[in-house]
Amino acid sequence: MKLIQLEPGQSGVVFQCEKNELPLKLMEMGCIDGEIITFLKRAPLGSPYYYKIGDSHIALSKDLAKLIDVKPLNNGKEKN
Amino acid sequence: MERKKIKLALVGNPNTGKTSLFNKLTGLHKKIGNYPGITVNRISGFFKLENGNEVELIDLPGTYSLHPNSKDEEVVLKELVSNHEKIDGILVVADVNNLKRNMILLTEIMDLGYPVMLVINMCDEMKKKGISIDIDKLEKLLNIPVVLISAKKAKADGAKKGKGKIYHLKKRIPEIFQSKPQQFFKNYNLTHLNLDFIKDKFSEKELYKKWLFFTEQNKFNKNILALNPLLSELPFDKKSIKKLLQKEVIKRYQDINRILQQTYMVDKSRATGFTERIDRILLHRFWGLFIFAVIMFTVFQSIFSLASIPMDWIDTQFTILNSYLKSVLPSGQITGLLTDGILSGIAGVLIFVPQIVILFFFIALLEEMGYMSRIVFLMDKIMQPFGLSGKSVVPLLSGTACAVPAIMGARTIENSKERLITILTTPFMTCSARLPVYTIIIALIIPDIKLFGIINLQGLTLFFLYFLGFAMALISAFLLSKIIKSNYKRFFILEMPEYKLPIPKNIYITVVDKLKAFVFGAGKIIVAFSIILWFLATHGPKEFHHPEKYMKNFTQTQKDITAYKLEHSYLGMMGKTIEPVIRPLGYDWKIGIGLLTSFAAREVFVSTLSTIYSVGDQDNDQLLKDKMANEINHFTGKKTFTFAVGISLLLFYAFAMQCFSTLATIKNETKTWKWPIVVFFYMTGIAYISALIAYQILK
Repeated sequence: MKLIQLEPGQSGVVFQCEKNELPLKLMEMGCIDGEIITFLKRAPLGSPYYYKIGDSHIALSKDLAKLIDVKPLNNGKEKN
Repeated sequence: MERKKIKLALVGNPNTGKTSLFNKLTGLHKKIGNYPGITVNRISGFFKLENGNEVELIDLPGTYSLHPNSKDEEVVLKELVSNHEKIDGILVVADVNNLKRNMILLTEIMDLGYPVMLVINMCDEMKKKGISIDIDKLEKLLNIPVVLISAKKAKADGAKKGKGKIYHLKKRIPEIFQSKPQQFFKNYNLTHLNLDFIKDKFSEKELYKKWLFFTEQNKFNKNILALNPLLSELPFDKKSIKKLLQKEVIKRYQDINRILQQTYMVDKSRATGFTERIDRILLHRFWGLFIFAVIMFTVFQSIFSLASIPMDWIDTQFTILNSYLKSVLPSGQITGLLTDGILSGIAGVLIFVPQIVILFFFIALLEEMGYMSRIVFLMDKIMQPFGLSGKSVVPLLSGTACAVPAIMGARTIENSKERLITILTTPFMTCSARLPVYTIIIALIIPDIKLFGIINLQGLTLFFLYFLGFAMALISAFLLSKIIKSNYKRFFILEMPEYKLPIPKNIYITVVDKLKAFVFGAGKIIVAFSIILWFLATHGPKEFHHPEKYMKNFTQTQKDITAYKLEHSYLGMMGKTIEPVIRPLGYDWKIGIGLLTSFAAREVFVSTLSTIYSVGDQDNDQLLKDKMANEINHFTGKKTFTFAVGISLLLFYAFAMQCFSTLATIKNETKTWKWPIVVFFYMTGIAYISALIAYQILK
């Protein structure tokens, strides 16, 4: 499952970051295998997307969120 | 003990309170310079250690790693790898909330071989967040001094009294030269490639410097492959280098995780989710945009209306001083130069002070609290297609008051390409100095009627002119983003820092720095321009000096003499000289003089016309309007201000670059005359062509 498919409030664990050839900056920001990412919300105008990666709050563009593979952890559906 | 000068660099991720720490350590003793060739500030300050050594602290731009994503971050890579500055040691600032990610940069810097100290900031939040750190163990594992500070809470005077965390930090600085930082990179065995061929630049030990020099070779303008022909046989293209760099990040995170597992504990149940809760409102699809609009409206109102109170005051004081000096000093060249040249120039600089103070108060406040990143988050979708940052909204909107503070406000945009485009396009926004010109011309050519019984046609025209300026700013931004080259692909990865209470002193320092930069940078140029303009308007060949001899009409009044003098000054001659150029736009030399005097400030156009048409009383718009309406163009023999000329003038004022204060500010911000010259010809070119087309169609 791709990061962009997470529901608001849902978390996932990053995997295959090397295989997906993520931009270096994304990996430096903590987007590496085993790290937990939570989808917080979309921007009011549709993009970018707002995530919690590890301990940091980071906004990503749609095309970057489409690159990242995650294993979903919970169902999300938290009130947003 | 012998007193030494030590040079330290302050390095850290953005949003770690790096600048707060810099301010706490150095106070106001700072030097703001520029890195050659790029629009990145070089900021350094000084402080003394207990042992008498003096430290020069260089505040390098914030960056997440030594692999740059912008020109600003490139400065950090280049300074630390080449070390032209001869830096003796580095203070790495980290945010206690994001220690893991911050340590990527830390381990990279340790690998460079510099003496290093890790400064963990925001330790005041540890208790609240349930974070505990085993500092002793961390020091042992990294083999560098580690200090906890709170730049927010630390009092500068605590350092003087010999206690407090800043004092503790300063006291431990000598220790960094005694410890040898733990090395990480050498164990990674990323490549079998022997990098020794770069050895003429670096010593045997500087493996990581060689590695950075190799992997970031285009930043150093070096083609390593050309340096060593043997390499071309190896698969060392961009892609394989990128793979190695990814491996490096993963290995670093493994090391960091191993270190932090032994030293860093978080009690997750204590997590407050404070920032996330506020973001739920401030980034809400309706309330978020609404609050943003309210904030922007407040900023706009403040620089538009609130600033006008002190601006009027400054204006009045200088007028009083000017006439006082004229009354006590003997009339003559020197007095003229002093009052209408120099004094007007200084007034022309100081008049911007209220707007700059107010705008930067808001910008610094929003930046300090962490809201600026939210502006990018909210606005990026709209601005990004035009090559602008979400943050460009602030300068563009401020530009509707005045381009000078607005252009300075572009400083908050991290990406230097987006910053440059914002600086270059902001002057298109309809500033308040254009309003008096618009008002009088609209009153002259647009009938005061209502469309469909409700929409005032004059008001609609004014609205359309605002829209034109904004549209041209966006179109130009789009074109510039295609033309201006950048080595960097635009990835949208934006950190959303935690919300914080602002530190008043940081806001104060930002405002003072901006004011200084303006008054002593752009201010000098503005005064110089003002003196030149004064000279041109008050000097001329022989007819100028004895108007009574040359004027045929013997019933001349003082007003007529003033008009005559302006016509025969050098400026008047210039107005006449450019007449052939502006005739296709429908203008005569009188309007030409108005265009030239507009360089002081666009609204001067109105008072210049008053002078030329001998209206005298400059505040009497009605009188001027009647005079303009009846004015005959000496060339065509018809009325000067026809509908076609009016539209042509409106378009010209909407687009032309006629403000030397703006040009001086662009020069000051970009540190080169290239960009103000480009802006001048680009904007004036567009103005000329659109005014030409409009006039030729409508006449």
